[in-house]
Amino acid sequence: MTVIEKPPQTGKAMPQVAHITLAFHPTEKQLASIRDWFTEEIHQPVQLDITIDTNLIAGAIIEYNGKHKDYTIAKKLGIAE
Amino acid sequence: MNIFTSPLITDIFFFFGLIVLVSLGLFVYVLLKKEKTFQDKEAHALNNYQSILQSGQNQAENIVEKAADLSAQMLAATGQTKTDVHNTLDKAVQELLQKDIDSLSLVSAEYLKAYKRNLTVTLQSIQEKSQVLLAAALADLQKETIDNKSSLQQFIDEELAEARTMIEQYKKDQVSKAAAEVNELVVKSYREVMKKSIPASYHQALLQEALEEAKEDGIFL
Repeated sequence: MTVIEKPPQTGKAMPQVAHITLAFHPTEKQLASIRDWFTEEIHQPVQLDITIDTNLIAGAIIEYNGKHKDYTIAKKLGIAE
Repeated sequence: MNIFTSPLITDIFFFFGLIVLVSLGLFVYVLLKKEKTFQDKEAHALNNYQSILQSGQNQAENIVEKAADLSAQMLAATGQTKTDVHNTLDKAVQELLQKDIDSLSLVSAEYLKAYKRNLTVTLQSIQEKSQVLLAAALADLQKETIDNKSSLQQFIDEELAEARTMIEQYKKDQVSKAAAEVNELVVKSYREVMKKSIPASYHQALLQEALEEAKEDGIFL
């Protein structure tokens, strides 16, 4: 499943897209939490592209600005598909 | 006086001529009789020849008929023999196949039984260990705050190390005991158990951890 947020209609430049693959279906509250984290820690708004892959077990795969890294339990256990 | 005109000579000539004529007639008679005998013999020989030819033809026909009958009998016998051979061969092949099927069924049933037994034991073991691990994780999570990065990291590292040790130990045991597909199935089962057992708070904590690590790794620069 993939959830892509609509970009904000602010007339400003398009925000960066953060591609995040999760092992669970995030709630709206959790999505808001992720957005807040980006605002606070990266100091810029992002557009979230969330993909669900339950085979990851837990954790996340994060891709941002062409950089990609796997922080999942499946990767750490060496059983990623 | 001419000697040829005397009556005696004339008589002699007449008599002599008569004898010549009679002799000539006898000669012709004998000649005709011989010719008649030759023609009779020739006709007889021709009849014999035709009779021999007819007899030969009859005998040849008889021989051909007998040969044809014999050939038909031999063909029929050959066909029957061929049918018998086919039947015998089919029966032998069916018996062999049935034996093979029985043998394979027996081996398959035994292998399946052993496989199921091994799989059940393994799954139970993994499920029990996973539940223990997750129970410990939940208990620890209740004590620690999510923001306590170092303790959470240590906890995750320890749990992962223990899980990794378990998986490696399991893999080593399985390689020596069971086929490769069992490993794959167990890993899948392990993943399924983990997926169903991990609470939402743990997911949230690991997501937060992933974002922090990504920041430290310079993903967002």
